[in-house]
Amino acid sequence: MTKILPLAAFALLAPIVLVGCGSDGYSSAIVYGVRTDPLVLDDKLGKEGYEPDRPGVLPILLAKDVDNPFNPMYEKGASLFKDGLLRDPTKISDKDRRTLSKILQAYFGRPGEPQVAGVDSTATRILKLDQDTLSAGSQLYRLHCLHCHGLAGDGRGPTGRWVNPHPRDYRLGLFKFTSVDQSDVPRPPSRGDLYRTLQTGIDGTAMPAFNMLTGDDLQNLVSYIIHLSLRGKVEFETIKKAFDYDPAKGTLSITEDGRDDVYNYIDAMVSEFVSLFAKDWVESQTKTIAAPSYPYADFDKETRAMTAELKESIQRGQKLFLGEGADKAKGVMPSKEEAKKANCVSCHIDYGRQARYKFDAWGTLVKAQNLTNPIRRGGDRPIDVFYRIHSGINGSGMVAHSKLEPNHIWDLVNFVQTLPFPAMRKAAGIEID
Amino acid sequence: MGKWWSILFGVTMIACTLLFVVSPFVGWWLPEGVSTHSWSVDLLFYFILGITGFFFILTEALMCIFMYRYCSSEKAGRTVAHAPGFFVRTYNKWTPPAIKGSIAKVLNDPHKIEMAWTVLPAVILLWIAFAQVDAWAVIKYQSRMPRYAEKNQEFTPLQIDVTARQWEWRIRYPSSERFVEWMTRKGDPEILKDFQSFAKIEQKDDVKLVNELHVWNHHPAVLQLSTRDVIHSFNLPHMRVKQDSLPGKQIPVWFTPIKHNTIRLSADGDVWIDGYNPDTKAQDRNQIWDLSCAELCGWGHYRMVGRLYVHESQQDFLDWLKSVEAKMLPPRAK
Ligand code: HEC
Ligand code: HEC
Ligand SMILES: [Cu+2]
Repeated sequence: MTKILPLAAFALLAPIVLVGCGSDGYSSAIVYGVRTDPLVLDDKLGKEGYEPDRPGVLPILLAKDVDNPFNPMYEKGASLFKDGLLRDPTKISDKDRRTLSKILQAYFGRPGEPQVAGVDSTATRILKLDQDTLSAGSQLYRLHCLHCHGLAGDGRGPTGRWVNPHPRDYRLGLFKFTSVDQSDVPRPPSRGDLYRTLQTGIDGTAMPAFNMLTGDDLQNLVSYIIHLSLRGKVEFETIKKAFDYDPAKGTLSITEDGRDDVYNYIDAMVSEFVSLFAKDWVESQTKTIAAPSYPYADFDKETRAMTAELKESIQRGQKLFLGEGADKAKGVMPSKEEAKKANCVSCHIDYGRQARYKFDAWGTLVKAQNLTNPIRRGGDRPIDVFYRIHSGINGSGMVAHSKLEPNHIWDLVNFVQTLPFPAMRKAAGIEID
Repeated sequence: MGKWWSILFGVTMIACTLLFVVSPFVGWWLPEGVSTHSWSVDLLFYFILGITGFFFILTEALMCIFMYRYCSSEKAGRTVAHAPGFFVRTYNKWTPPAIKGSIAKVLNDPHKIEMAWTVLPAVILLWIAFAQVDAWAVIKYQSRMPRYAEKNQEFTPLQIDVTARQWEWRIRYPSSERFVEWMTRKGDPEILKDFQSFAKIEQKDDVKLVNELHVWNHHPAVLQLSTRDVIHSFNLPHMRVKQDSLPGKQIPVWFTPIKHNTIRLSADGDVWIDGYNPDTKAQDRNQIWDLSCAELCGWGHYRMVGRLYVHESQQDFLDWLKSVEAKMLPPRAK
């Protein structure tokens, strides 16, 4: 007995020393799987004025969460699924689920071996969706991002529910901070936008900066995000289109057209969606907002004082923000139509200090930013704020204002970037109380 | 066979000691100290390491030897043996009789033994406590903090705001214009006010970066440290600087580097960074100076690292600051 004890101690210690890092092999048993959380089909899920989610809560992880009296959707709970605002994919029959899962896996692989099949070679090249890039990205993603963004990019990693705003769910193909023209339809971001998001993080949220990773690593991560986003969006749209919801029975069954040959029906649909959404992504790469050059001289070269034209611009920005205009534009007063087009105060009540929480496209809560706080999530360079105002913030409810005159957007940028700084406000002669 | 235990302990202890001995040669030791005060921290470290190391090895060795020698033997059925022959012989042969006598007296008087092993460490501790005051004062006493220069011979330190959050360092610099005013105009009450307001009030033209801490060589830098969420610990191993950042507090940290690791090649050229020298194409890990978090602060603690860039000169730093500012500007017509 006494002889065995020390040997046992050695035996216990040895594995600790020897195990360390294994090979890169990620179990092939781990797959993305078909989503189980409800699809959010509409962002008008409830009344305004909810409190933000309490820590540890994500409003819709599963359909039954809505039955919890503390859930912000509880009040409307019963009707949410009936009215088609939410759809519960767990209602799909097991057989159909397996079919869908098999098809999605044929196109997108699994976390250990990600791929995007069914897109043409130009798209693969432009979006860098080759297998080497994706598997490198997948490894980095599992190391750095998974605990927030989740294995399938669903924003439901273990940390996800504890932070607010919750991590991005990529499966809608919607991204907030882009430099892509969103004025007609919501578009995916460019690779550059995602790269920048990774480099700078999103200040004011839990999303940290990853600028200590190498450029190659970040590019691989960007490719992998595109992969996850494509996969999620194809899954989303397929569930939405291929299955009929029966409110009476509460089932999702395959639509009329597909009953005869479920596999080929879904396969054709997935194939179509993959190339369609990949095309959207490709298109986005060249659709950068054409921001006109900044028209003002901000500071006097000699005295370093604020120039009169900057002062006027800031004041005009305030009028536009508040939706105040005159019949004819004059001095700092914009015209009525312009002011009506801007009218930021309709959401940013009291410059955002009293804005209310609303549901966003992901079914989580969002609030028009308090703009008297200097933190800008999408970056605080003037051009960042220009992009935000021009094309809105996808998914959050902040609409595009691309119809405004470009110089008026710059006025708004100047005003918004002056707001948080009392000394600047005083110098520009604006009051906000 | 209880002797196995003593062998297990002995081997472990020898392995630990060997690991210690080889670590400087395989890069597991302290990084090069490159601030004006780093030598005093190192001196204290080595001194304390010497004392504790000496007693550690002594006590561990004795313990293992005694365990081996006096382990109960099931066969013989005896629990206590005589002192190891080698020790007894050596002791008898080499110890002068007078000392032998007093040692015997002490050993036979438990009260005296207790006194000896309480007082001796206490004296050593007390001595260390006094000896370290100087080093501590230079690094931590706020009365020693570099301040805005009142006179021409003095230097105004570079002031930077460092905010920790899960899991990154948000770093805010003054604008280049403001920076030049701080450096050149001395003893001006208005500048003093501006200098003091920097940490409290954010300005529109501040330069904000993540995880990149830039200073320059031979010039004091004061960092105003705070945190947005939990406790973090700001650690610059090369500068021998470590300070916890506490929620709700702004804590100044300062140091003066004496070596640089970053040179801008030209006004718009790239920086020599991250251990890579584009001139010689040489790679040198030792030129990468980390800024790390030294307090377990959550899941992402492992990746809460930034970089410290010590520029060669003030001009170098200023060029860099201006280049960052230029990237922030809106697009203008040429
Ligand atoms: C601590 C949690 C956390 C980690 C770790 C994290 N993120 Fe995020 N991420 C977030 C949150 C929270 C948001 C949403 C911010 C918002 O809605 O404004 C987000 C948003 C994003 C977005 C969307 C940006 C946009 O324009 O909509 C991308 C892309 C992203 N993260 C990628 C990553 C990648 C890649 C990694 C790993 C290298 C990562 N994140 C790691 C929390 C995290
Ligand atoms: C329909 C409602 C709505 C309108 C109208 C609106 N916003 Fe917003 N705005 C939002 C919401 C919601 C957010 C928060 C988005 C987020 O944080 O995800 C926001 C955020 C912002 C931000 C912060 C972006 C960042 O990077 O953090 C700015 C700046 C902004 N709005 C400016 C404006 C301006 C200027 C206007 C008027 C032209 C305007 N908004 C009109 C809803 C609106
Ligand atoms: Cu930390």
